[in-house]
Amino acid sequence: MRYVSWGVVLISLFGCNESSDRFEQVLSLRALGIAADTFVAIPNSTVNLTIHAAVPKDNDVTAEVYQDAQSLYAILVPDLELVDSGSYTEYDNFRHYQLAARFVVPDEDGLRALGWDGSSALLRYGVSLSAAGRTEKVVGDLALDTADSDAAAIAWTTPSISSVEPAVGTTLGKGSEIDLKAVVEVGDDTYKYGWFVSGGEIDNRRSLDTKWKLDDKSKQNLILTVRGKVSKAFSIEVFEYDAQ
Amino acid sequence: MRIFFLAALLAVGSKTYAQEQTGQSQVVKSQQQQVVEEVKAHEIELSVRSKGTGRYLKRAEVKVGKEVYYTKPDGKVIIKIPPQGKGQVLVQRFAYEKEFVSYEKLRAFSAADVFLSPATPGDNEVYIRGNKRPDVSRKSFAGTEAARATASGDPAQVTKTLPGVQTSTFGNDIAIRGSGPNDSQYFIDNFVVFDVFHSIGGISVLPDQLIDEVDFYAGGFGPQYGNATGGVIILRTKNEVPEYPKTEFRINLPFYSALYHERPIDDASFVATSFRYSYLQYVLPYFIPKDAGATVVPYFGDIHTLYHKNYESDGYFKLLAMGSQDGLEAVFNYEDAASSEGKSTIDIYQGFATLGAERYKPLGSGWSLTMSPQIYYNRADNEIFDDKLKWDFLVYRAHTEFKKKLSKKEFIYLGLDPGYATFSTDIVIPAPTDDPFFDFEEAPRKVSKRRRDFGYASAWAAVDKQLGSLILTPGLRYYYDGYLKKTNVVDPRLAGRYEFSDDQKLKAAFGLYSKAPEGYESDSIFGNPDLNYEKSVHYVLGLESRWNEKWETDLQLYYKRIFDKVVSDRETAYSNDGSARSKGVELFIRRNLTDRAFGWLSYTYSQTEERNNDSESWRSAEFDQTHVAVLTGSYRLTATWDFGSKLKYQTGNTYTPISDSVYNATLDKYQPRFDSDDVNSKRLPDYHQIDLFFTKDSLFNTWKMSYRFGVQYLAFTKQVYSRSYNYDYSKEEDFSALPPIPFVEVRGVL
Repeated sequence: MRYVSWGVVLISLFGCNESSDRFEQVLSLRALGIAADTFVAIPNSTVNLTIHAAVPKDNDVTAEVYQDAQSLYAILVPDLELVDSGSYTEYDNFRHYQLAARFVVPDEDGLRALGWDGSSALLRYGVSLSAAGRTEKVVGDLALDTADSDAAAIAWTTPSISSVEPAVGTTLGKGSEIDLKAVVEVGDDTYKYGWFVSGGEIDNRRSLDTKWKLDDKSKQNLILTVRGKVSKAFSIEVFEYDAQ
Repeated sequence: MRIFFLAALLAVGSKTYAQEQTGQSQVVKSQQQQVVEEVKAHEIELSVRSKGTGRYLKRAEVKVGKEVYYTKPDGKVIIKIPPQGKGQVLVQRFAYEKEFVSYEKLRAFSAADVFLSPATPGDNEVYIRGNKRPDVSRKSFAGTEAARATASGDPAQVTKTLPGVQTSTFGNDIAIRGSGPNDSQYFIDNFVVFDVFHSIGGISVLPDQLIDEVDFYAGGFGPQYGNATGGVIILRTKNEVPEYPKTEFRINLPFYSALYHERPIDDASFVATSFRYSYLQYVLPYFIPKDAGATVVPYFGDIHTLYHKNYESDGYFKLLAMGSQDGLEAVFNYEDAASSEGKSTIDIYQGFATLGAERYKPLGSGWSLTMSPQIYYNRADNEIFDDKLKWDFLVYRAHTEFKKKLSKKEFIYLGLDPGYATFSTDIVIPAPTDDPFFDFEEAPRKVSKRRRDFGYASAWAAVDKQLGSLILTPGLRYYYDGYLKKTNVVDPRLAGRYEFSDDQKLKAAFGLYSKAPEGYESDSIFGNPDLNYEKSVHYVLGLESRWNEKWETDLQLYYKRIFDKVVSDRETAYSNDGSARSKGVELFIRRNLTDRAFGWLSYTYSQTEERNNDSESWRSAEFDQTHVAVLTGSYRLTATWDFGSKLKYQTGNTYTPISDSVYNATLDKYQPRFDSDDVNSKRLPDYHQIDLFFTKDSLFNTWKMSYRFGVQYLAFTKQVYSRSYNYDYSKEEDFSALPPIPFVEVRGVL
């Protein structure tokens, strides 16, 4: 009922923070997202995951299961299995690493033993990735509900990235600032977008219509990720450009 | 500077010399001589007035040669000056500069005004504060004194300089003896308000011209106050009937403009009204970097009307109507809560309006009655990212207190404060948690749209009983709250003062202090309807000393234990499992108000710890500031120059260090992780702040301009507000303070 101290909001937005790190710059091992093959985990079902990350050239990733004990709202998946050691797609500035994992959702009794009350909930899974002297603990959530629930009946779709500007094959100007746009086919959800780049700065990495100030590399990579806020759907595309 | 004010000011009278040749000499002489002098004597009506206000001055001395005249209550006097020759009339009055006016100037008029400039004040007349109900930890300040002591000229700000008070380095939050900002009560007279400070700008919701006095209770207060485990802050409105109408306009950079008007209705009553509104929303855009991609529109305003009437031997009546609002509209790039366009929006509005009447009436046989019925309406309309928090809260109260005087120092107090409230909410907000790194984006939402009507009441009784030099005040306070399932609570309290002499008093208090959970905490959807009152036991021991008329000290030791403290709970949203404890020593050295100087030094040593349940070990609380020292004061350099300053030092705030982080792939963000044993285990660097400010009056005949200017947040080194982190929490750095903020305020007083 009391007034909130809005000055704190203002100062947190415009205060004298000297941080220079940029979220969007992929300069070391960086997790990019996790795709699941279902939108709702049903008791006794199997869920397959693909963990995406970027890793510096010539580096391999080691992965292991991670449990996020400080998760406030989700039930921890007890038995995540890493299917293999992962695969790589080579780009000029990094390797796109994809790791397959899966877990079997416990039955209802097993879930109740983990704290489930039978209503809509979240399951949390996690892996720990290490490469080039850096470790990323990556966690993700998936909706948990019964097979006959309303949530399980929703026909969510996975968004797809239709196009991006500048188009692939365009030669960019080193150090220039360019308009960045993307077209994404989305479903009936609200979405969170995330740009990553091999260098330079994105003006607003959450907007599909923004600006990219390039650095002086002659090869530039751009990554766009799309996440459904409710469905947890995930898509990712990597783009490569020459720069002069 | 006095050269500005010694210039003689002579206004033109309306009558001519020729029309005024009817005066009679008071000197008895020969008839011939008398006839000559009657022709020669020039009679003039002199009005002696105060420069800057135009106020007429009674009992001013006017010397014409050896003749001495005195102005009458209307400030006027008829004098006679020689019709020829050179000479001067001397006009003088206590607290004003002397003024000489030449005969030549006066001879041209039949009536004239002489304006006296105020003299540089002396330092000997000490303002005496009136006797009040004995209370162990109360501090009282005259509104004029408090206004001069703060950079903003806002009397309510003095509460942030007093012993027992911890403040956040930025913002309005006040913690009193270890209790959080929401654990204290705020009043304007006997009218309850949820806060006395605006959220934007931090100024109080009542303009300084309307504040007669500021009362602050750090704890151990009597049963007349309740529903608080912390302290009580009261702004008391003015009650002195002004002699003349006054209008004041004010331009405060960079915050607001204000208009104030007061006027006597008759000898016993007056009305005052005020309006303030911010223009920060127009100024701020020029200071936000263009590449920030943000628009921010903060605003605030308030409006007041006060009517006061004194009844001869029959008490007084006052009526206060006021409204206050604060708002913030912002659109900006923000990673955590962006829309599909990459923007986040905040649209916050909170306001209140109240209509309160207060009647104090002696009933005879030592009894008196104070009734303070009030209607209070509070409204919030907040949309923060994708969430909303809206409420309408309407309260009808009927605060009533009977007082019986048994002897000079013995009284009986009986009070009742019944109320009826309507509380409507429309809410979608993150589920609550005490997690220090709570992520609102991740939290599941709680949704509620409902209305609740409920009654509540409190009643209290206390008696001041004198036993020799000891005055004991036992008391009880009873609560009923229809919003809660567990509705009935009784708080016993006991205070005592032992008077070694008129100047040395040992005082002590202990008692139980209960506070109802916040509405959202006991809500059946958001919170836990089974919550009980939070409880606190206060123990206070103090020594109050008056060393002479100008110097006083107050030394206090306190211990406070809070139990049944409401904390978040994973199973029930909230529980009464929390507890806290606080102990400290407070020293207050006060140089009492004179016309020229005053000030105080307050120092608090304290330790405040808390825990969420009995199985946890104690840890430092959020507002645990071990040392807080504030030196504040004001000195009148001349009649028109005033200098004030505030120096503050406090131990750095506690914070929880981050030990690790995870990348949340669902949200595309890193989230901090911490060791549960490390909550509030680290401290920011100690904080200090210096405010310097001046007031300059430019006096004109019947009005004045006042300039208040200075700089706030000066520091010897760069100050730190908090810690900030890079995107993955692998690097920690200082979140530094704002640069010193200069300010200018111009007031025109007519």
